[in-house]
Amino acid sequence: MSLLEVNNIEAMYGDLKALFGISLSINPGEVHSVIGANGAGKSTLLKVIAGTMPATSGSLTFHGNDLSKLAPDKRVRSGISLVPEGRRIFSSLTVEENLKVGAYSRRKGHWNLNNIRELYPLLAQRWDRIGFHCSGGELQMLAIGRALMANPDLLLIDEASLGLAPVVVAQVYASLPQITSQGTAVLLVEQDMQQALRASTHTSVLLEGKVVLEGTSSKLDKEAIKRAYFGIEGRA
Amino acid sequence: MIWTNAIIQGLLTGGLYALLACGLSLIFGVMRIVNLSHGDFSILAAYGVVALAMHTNLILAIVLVLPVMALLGYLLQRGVLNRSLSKGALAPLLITFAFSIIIQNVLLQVFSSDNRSVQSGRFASMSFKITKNLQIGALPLFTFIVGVLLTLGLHYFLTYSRVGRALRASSDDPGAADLVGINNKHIYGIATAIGLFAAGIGGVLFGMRTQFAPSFGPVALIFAFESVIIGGLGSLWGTLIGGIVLGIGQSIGAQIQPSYGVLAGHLVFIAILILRPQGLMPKQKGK
Repeated sequence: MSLLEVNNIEAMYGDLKALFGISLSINPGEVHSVIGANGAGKSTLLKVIAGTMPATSGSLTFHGNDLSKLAPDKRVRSGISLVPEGRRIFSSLTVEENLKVGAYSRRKGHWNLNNIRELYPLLAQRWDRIGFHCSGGELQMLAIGRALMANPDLLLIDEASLGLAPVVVAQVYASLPQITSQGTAVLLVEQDMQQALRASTHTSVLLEGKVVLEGTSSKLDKEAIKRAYFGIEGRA
Repeated sequence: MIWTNAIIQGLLTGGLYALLACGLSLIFGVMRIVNLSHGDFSILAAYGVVALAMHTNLILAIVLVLPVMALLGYLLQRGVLNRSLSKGALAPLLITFAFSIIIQNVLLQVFSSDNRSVQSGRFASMSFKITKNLQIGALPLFTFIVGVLLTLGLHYFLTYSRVGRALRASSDDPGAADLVGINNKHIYGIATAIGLFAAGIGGVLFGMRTQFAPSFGPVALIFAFESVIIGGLGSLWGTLIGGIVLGIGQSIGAQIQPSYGVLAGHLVFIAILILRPQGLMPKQKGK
């Protein structure tokens, strides 16, 4: 049985439909990337899974249990953590305090302050700095670290590479195997197609709120992905 | 010497203002709710102690009333105020205004408009002679110590405890707090519980010092507000300093002319607003 089953999910922003029946499933320890252009519905999908936005129809099952009625904080307790768009680090709290707050749900597991320091040595150097004074790369690592402190079974990452220097992006992606080796599955939303394909086992391409292409990342045809990504018809 | 005396007495009074204000400061800091009924809750606690002390001793009455204040805070937050938070800044403000009117009228109905005080016997008039012209009252000194200890306690709670960190996280970004598994509604309940607990301590000590009537809530609220603003919004230590500055201002004013005391306090407040609108110890950027 898969860890997360997303079945025919629809979601609306007011009167505007953003997701038109999205389905995907994720197994423990796998990295699933969702790619697509701006406005394709990638972030919306993560919000629906994390519970910060309601699905108007469709079903979400996690560990075989229905998620749809659970508030976001309860979903964290059941094992889903979101690294949100814009990082949303607590700006008045230090790096250490942000990580400690990440463990608020008291889920047991591999990740603790020491293991996060090893995963991201840069954070260890910034330990007492408040969030407000951290750089973009530090914030991104901290956001992932904070989410890991809840020892999630499923880690949702929204645009890990956005606005970061390539060297920092490489560091962030290099940490993924250590995360999945603990059995944690990762659902990755990414605009950088190459990066997403390299990091993931499975990939779904979203276009205007629908899954237009999906498959094993290494076997997907680059040309087909490009056409799906931009929604170019014909000449297949 | 008389000025030294005025400053020391003002300093001690400042401890009381800090007690009346620190809950207000916390509630505002975490939820951005301006609790217009804060002073009325203080007076409510004082009446609660007066009523219970008729049947039992003072200490037991206080020990019983303070947890009830905290519980009341939690329930009012979960039951009423939380529902208003999504409806703009005005809704919670009006609700606390309503609490203020309700408390004043219930107290008027139950206790009449007669002045009361919390009887603490000999303790109220006890004093220590420091020099020939300087005496320190036991009650003001005790009040000041409680004020400092409560500020210190809250500081340690907010800095080092799991729930305290969650309070600060929730204050920074409630949406992100959700994402780390914090139930904001519960956290807000705890903030108001602590706020009214502190308001209760302030109210009982206020009631030991002076007589009070059901209409005294807004007076306590003004002093609390001025302490918070003088100290700087969102900073607990600032609130303590603000209370002390206000207390000293009042007592120096009263030294010049006894009827100038309260006025002098307001003038200090206005002067701070003009010269240093962010307060003496404002929350630092990003903090």
